[in-house]
Amino acid sequence: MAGSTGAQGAIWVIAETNADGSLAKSSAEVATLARTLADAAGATSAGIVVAADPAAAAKELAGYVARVVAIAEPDAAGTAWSVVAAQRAAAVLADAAPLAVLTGAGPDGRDVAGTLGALLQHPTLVNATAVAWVDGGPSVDMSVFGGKLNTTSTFTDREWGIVTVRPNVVTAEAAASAGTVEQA
Amino acid sequence: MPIRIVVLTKPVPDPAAAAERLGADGRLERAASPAVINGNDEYTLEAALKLTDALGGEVTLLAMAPAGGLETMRKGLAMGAHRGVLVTDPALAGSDQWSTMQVLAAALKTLEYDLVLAGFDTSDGVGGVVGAGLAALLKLPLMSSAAKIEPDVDAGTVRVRRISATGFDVLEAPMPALIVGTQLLGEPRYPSLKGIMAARSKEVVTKSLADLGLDPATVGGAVARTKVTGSTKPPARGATQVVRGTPGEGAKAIVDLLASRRLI
Repeated sequence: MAGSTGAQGAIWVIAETNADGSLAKSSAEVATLARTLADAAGATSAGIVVAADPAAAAKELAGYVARVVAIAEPDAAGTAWSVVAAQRAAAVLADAAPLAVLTGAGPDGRDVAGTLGALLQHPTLVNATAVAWVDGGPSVDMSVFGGKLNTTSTFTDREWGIVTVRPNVVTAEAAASAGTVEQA
Repeated sequence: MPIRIVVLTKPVPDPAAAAERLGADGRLERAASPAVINGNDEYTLEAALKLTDALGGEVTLLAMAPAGGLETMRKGLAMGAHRGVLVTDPALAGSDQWSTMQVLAAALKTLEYDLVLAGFDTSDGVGGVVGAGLAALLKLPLMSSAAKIEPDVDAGTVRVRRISATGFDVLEAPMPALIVGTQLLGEPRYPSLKGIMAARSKEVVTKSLADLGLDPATVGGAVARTKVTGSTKPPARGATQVVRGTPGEGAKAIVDLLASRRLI
């Protein structure tokens, strides 16, 4: 990877792709949320796509966030995608402290979040039904106990963390202008 | 050849009791609700028992819980698990998922196993990230969303049928490996009366943080990296809506309703 990806001060999304290489609907939603939070934080939104051929999904993702890091990973063309994706994303994110990292809350997103949290030693808030930027960090609403209670949680001590976001809690909305795509 | 399986279990508030509540500190008031073994853990336990029934070997339950977790573990022992390990320590009250991963990883390092099985998620937090985190901490192959588990102990490998958006993928990895299961693994058995009686005499080893060489200054509630800042009950459900018309009209109305609620 040539140069630094400049990961400082951004809300990041780890995107998922469909079998045909296109951007997953849930990732478009999460990317929209990342941009919304970044706007509230006065920061940048960014995304990571890890796939055997990330070009198409990276181009789509750039329609939602300011910067996309596209990582071609032949090993990702199989069934261990989440672990490979988390490892490659960890290498990008480890260079500086992101403000937050978002993933989907589906099976692959959970695996990415869990693996990434362990690799980078950062905490996770899960299954978010809403996320707002409050007092310098994400404020995460969750439905727990089978829907019997809604909670709001934050990360302690202003450290950054990972948030898994449920599908359909955000409507995907493209940015006014497309972001950039860089190969890593 | 016999197989050694560790099944991760967690006591959770009984969903049927509907008595869950949080205290002023945002922590679960455990005394307010009876505890049961997490439902999805029963499915992975069933899968483990089927494997040991067929291949021989042993199933060990592993849980991080308050001391009362011992009684919850008894159901898993009554189903047929051979022994249990309960990590319990006052310092663990209020632990977040990060601490949970650290503690379970430390406990797993004291055990010998071919497979670690984890449930898809828990009925309290619905997180589903601890299994993947554990695999990363322990540098084990992760095989998630498993619908079928086929170990070849002689070859030292395991094959898993993993649910995917397009059907199933087939994963294969060397053992030891960590597998996150789904309910497609098969309905859990009811404990027999013989099993319930036998559970009382099965060994459950209790370990503290000190036993695992962990410092309470690094794991547990005191160093939780997430916190609950508020909670509310969801709005009361409205009146039942009856959909009349043809099956096609009914299906469309249901789909439209689910889409409007962002459920699909």
